[in-house]
Amino acid sequence: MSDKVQRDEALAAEYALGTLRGSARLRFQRRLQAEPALAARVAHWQTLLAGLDLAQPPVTPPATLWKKIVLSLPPQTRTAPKRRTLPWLAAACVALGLALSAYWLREPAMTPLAVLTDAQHSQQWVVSASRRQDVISLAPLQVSAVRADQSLELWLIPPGQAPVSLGLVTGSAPQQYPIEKQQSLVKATLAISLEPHGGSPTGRPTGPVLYSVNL
Amino acid sequence: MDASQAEQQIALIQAVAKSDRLAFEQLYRLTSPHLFAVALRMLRQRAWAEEILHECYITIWHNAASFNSALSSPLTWMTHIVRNRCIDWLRSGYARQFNTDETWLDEHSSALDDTRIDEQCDPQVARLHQCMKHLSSEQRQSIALAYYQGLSHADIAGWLQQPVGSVKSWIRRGMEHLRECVGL
Repeated sequence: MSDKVQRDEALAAEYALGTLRGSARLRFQRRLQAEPALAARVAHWQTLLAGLDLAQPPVTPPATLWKKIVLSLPPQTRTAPKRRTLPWLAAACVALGLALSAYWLREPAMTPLAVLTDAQHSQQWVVSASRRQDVISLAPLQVSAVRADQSLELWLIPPGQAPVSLGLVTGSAPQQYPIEKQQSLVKATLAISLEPHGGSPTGRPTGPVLYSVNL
Repeated sequence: MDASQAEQQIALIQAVAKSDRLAFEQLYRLTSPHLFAVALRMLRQRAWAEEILHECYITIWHNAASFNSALSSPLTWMTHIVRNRCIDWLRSGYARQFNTDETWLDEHSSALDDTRIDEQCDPQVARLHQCMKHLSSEQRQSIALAYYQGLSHADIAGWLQQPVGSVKSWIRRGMEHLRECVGL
């Protein structure tokens, strides 16, 4: 084994065992998203160590726990309260208009490109791009916060290709994301998915897509 | 766990990925006693373990589509979610105020010597437990404290009253031995 392979093997073992901590753990988790071979090593270690769990007798959790879990699931059927949709939609449109004009006036270098919306069209992000389309910015518009243990992640999906993560999105202020030269915004899709805190552990979207737009 | 159980759970997770609530409940019934035992063992407080399990099943509901059956079994995948969350929890200052209860640790570290394991049907599990017996007692204890209690290198060093460097090398060598011995 080469030094690097050996080092990675030791890291995979420590990660699966749980002794890799702090920033080293976070760095390793980021690498796992990009390196399938490393993720496979970790899975091997997890499978091996799972054998240790079988020495422990199972403990049935209290019945109330399942009830709490069911209550925290997203609503089962999407009931669109008709009477309340229209004012929200109108307000959103006004706010959108204001935001678009504000962006147009304030930042001549960034041109509004598209609006990322959720399925109900009640929450939006304004997407702007630099003239050369090598930077895009995202500005939140009536966006509700996510839970502390979750993060929003922005994806660029070139036509017919796998999603590429552009980074995490926080709902508080406009953020900029560089677009690499080999990527193009032409006919691509932008999407924001709901991920575990810190972003997708696999390097691909894992949670539901909350917002998307075709460019 | 035998292959048919694993297959059943894979089918359930795939249904959960399509928002099938009945499948989710069935998956919960099948796996929660195991995951609750894992969380209880690491956190040592029922209320915390319940809270973590609650969060983790919501994570499982949302992330079911990302489960890759080529990499690991459903139970291993779900155990990883629970262990990861427990490790985060243990790192927080709140959990640190409650220090390790010694009798509890002794009782659980000795679970490794449990002979029931030899009767387990899964040959790889039996092999792992055989291999654990080849380790030096320091190596075995360090690995058990890390895995079962979620202790860090520094916590284990404090518990065994040994230098952190020794603990790190026991764990590294112990894990290398397990890899070779189990044939990973």
